[in-house]
Amino acid sequence: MTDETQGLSRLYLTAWLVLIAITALEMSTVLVFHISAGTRVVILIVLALMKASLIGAYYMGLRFERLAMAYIAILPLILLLLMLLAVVPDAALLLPRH
Amino acid sequence: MTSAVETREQGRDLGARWGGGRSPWDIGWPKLMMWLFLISDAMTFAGLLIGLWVMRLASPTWPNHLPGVMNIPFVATMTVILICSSTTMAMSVYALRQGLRRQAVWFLAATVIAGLLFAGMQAREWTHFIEQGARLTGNPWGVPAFSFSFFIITGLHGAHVLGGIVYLWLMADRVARGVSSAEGVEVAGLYWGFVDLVWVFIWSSIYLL
Repeated sequence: MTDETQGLSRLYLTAWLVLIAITALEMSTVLVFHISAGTRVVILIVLALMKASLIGAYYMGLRFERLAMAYIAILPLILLLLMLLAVVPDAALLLPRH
Repeated sequence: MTSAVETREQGRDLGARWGGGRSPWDIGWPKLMMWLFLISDAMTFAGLLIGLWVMRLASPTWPNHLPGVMNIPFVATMTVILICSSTTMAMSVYALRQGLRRQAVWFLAATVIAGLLFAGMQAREWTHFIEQGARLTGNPWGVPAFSFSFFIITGLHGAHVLGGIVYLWLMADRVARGVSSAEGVEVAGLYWGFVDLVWVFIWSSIYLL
């Protein structure tokens, strides 16, 4: 039990450090590196998903729940993708009218 | 490696879990209810963020990277504070599971303080933005959707932070009095983790993109 809890606090500490490191990286895409907007978008999406999965897995305990719980949490993401697919073409149509 | 026998065993296990008579998710109802609430809340934020992305795509300019409009190091500090608060929240849940009630209360108090700090910095950020002339319906940079989406999205998140501060404060009091179970604090931890999770996307979308 003590071994397990010690392992857990080490896990939280690692997650904490990784989250802060990713935040620093995200900030550097704007303040340090001069990269094109398109590349920055891709990098930011990947980094945000990494952070979100870390928070979901360890701080919200999904890693320690049954897999069916993770499916509940992932389902809205699929709906979000569908909604994006539905509305983004509208934005692309609006742009040339400016 | 999964053998055929193991697969069949898992299949039977699945039937036992989902065949009725027991909770397939194997969690208590408070936790399940909190998860269902958080998922519906996630859909609300997703709708707002998708709205923001579409407006950005449709707008020829977006003023968030003009000098002086947004203070990225300041908001990065807010982000780090929120990450630290989720860590203390998780530590509180585990302290209580081990029966360390006093320690759990202290970790909860640290989480509340970090939440207050975040809310205070958010208020400063809003003040700065309003002083520059940004309003809900317009701003000096000529893209009304910019300040509109900023106030609505960070405002709804800020409301979640304020609500979370009250919630965690009440939980700290309950734990100190020995009324609340470890599960109660875990459910509160789910809410606070979600507040941090949403901020990850808000911080990327509003300040960095």
